[in-house]
Amino acid sequence: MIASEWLYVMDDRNGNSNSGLHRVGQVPGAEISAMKKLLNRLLAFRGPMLIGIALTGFAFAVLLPGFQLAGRLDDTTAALRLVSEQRRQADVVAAALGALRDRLDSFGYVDEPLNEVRNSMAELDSLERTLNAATDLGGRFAVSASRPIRSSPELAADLVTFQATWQRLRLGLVPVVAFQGVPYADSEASGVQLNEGGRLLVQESRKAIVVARRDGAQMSAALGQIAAALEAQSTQLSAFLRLLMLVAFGGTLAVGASLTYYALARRRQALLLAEARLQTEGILQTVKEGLFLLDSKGHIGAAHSASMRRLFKRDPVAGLSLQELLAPIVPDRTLRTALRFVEILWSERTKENLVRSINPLQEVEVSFETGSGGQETRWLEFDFHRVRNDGKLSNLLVSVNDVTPRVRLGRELAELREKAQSQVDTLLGVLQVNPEQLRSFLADADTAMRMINAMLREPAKEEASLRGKLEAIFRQMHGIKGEASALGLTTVQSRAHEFEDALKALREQSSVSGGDFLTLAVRLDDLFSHLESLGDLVERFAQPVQAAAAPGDTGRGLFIVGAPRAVVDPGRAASGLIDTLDQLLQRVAGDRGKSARLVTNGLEVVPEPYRRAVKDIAVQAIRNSVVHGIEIPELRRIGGKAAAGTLTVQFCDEGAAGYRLIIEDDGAGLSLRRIREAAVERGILCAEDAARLDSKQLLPLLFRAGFSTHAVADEDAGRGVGMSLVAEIVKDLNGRLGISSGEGRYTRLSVVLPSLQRVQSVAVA
Amino acid sequence: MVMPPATLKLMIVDDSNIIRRRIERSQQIDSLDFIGSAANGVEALELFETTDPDVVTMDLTMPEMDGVECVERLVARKPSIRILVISALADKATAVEAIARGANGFLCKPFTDRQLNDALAELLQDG
Repeated sequence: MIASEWLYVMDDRNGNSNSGLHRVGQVPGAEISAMKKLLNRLLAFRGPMLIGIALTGFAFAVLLPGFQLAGRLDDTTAALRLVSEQRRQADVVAAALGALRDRLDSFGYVDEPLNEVRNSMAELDSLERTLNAATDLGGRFAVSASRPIRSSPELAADLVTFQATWQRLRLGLVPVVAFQGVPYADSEASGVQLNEGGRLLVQESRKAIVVARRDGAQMSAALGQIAAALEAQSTQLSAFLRLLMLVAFGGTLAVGASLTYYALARRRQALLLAEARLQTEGILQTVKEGLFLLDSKGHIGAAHSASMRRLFKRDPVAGLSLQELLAPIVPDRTLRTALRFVEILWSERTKENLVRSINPLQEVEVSFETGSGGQETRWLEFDFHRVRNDGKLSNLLVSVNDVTPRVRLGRELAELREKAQSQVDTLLGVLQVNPEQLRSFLADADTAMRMINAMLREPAKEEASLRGKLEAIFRQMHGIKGEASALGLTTVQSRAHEFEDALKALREQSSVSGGDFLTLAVRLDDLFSHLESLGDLVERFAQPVQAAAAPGDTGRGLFIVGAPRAVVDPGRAASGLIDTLDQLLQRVAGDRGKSARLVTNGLEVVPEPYRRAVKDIAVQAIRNSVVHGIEIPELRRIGGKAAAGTLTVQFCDEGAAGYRLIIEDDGAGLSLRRIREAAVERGILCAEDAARLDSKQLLPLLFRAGFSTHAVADEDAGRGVGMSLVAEIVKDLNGRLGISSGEGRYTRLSVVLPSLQRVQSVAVA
Repeated sequence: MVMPPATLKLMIVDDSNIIRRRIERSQQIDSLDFIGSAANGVEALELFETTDPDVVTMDLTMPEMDGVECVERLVARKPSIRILVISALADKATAVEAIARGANGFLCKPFTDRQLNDALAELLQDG
């Protein structure tokens, strides 16, 4: 598959399924392209997915523990702050108790220190409750000082110690703070003295001082331990958090880096694609070939070469189906075959390499309508290649070339070859012809051609005169053809026949105008130049040999151009004429599977002025005889005749009565039935008239222009011109013409030409 | 145990005795085993029934039943059959039709021995 080496098609993920050609250019190798494909896939699908997974993992692995750590740190800090604040309460209690004792000693005001003790007790109670709280009232988001303690056995043990010492201290303090009122009694007699309550207060406060000194210190120590442990925990948590942040930083860097890489890779690929698109575009813009992709529905893809518009003379091309592209320019049958051919290329059964030769568009003739209503013909060469994507048939790559110059050149070559061949044929024909005959033919043909040319030039406007001209030209041409045929000059004969065809077509037109004759002039020119080249050929071959030729040599062959016409010796002229007639007879008879022999008498006495006329008449009459008269050998045998027919040409001088030319054959004779039928067919007579007329009235029809009993014209008969030409010649010479026939026995044409003395005397008169 | 090489049975269909013998003698594909020839579509179908060929060379213009119809019938009976149409290129439409009905390839008459063997080798290739 040629296409895959330099052009491959990728899915367009943007949904534009037709913008197929993405990458044109050399792909270094299958492996690299496979790797690239893999990378593309990875980037296209797994890249974003991997990054998503990484981000989620990162959140779970780093952010969530970080969040928890932060919470724990918060809790620890809260607990630490609380414990640190309340650590001094033991000292506050001790100081307050001291102040109480002092106040009692000096009968001072005791409410203040008592209240301080009460406050401290409340604080410490609250501390104990807080640190001991079993539930997290605010949920996970609220700060809880008890949480770090509950979660650490060591701290729990310290808390127990704190609680124990605090309860002991508390027991000592309760009697003190239970005191209400004033501890003093003021009397005139004894002045200010402690009352009973006062004394009790002094006792209790002394006990409490002892307890506070002992248990207060222990309690402080316990709180100190808790604080230290919390501090250590806090430090640890901070370290953890820092580590986590470091990991988070690393993770973020990694994710960021891969995102950047991904983006860069995407961008690089986009650039590569863009570049490839540009290259593709460049190629498609400049390539001379028409290039396009067909999809499985037979539509042309968006990426096609710009020359498509030029080749198919339409725009836009993309999106058209192959059928729409071809229908206006190729015949239906070709279109059908082409579509069927494309169909078989889509079938995996078909071996691509084994069907190239039956591509119906291999060299197809297309025609475009030109603006001026004409047609322009060109030849296009289509080539189809399968395009596979991952082993699956995805498109057909079609290339189109304009091969018009090649085809035209080929045709010209063929024409040249044909021309060369025809020259060889002509030459061979010439070599067979008697030099006298050839010379006289060329001279006669030249005269006839000049006459035709003169007739063509002669101005004529009316239909009737144009038609008359047509008939006259026809007879002249028919004469040339007859003689060429007699000499076996087939190249001249066929050209003359073609000219006659053209004339006949004109004759059959309902109206004829002067312009119609233009085409004739062109054909005439062709025949002219052919005759000229024949003359040249004759000259060239004659010159060198002529010198060596012995005078009077009458042999056939190369010795052609001899003495001027005026000194032709009558004997030689007669033998030339006899040869011509015999050759014609043998050729026409041979062509039709008939056999005949020529008997002549008196031809040597034909006077020079009548020689041409006698020859023309005899040529036409002999052709007629062979075609219509003489039967094929089988029929002749059945009829009891000799297999070969006999054709007699007789010429005699009858003195003052003139000359008589009789041409007779021993053939089938004239069939009045056929003549009647032909006359009716050609619209010359109606059926009743035809049936009524007798032979004397019917036979003159034979000399009428255009009358023939043959339905199809060939080179020897059927145009109905031969006998009318005879009649014309005889009329021109003021002669008389008669025809007689015995059915199944003979046909005799009899011509009387006036004596030359009479002709001359008429001319003098 | 050595497996014998897989042989494919070849049937030649052509109304010309000369062409039939020419193809039979000229083909040099080792894996092809000539099993018989037929002079027209009807004979080809009969021979198919008795010999079950795998590969067929098929002329298009034949008396009784032409190549296009014969291709269609053979493919209907044995979808895996491989058919090489061998015919003169007078009418591309008919050749295209034969491929459309299931033949796998086309070889133009006249052909050289090399062209015949190349075409058969291509025909036998997978995919």
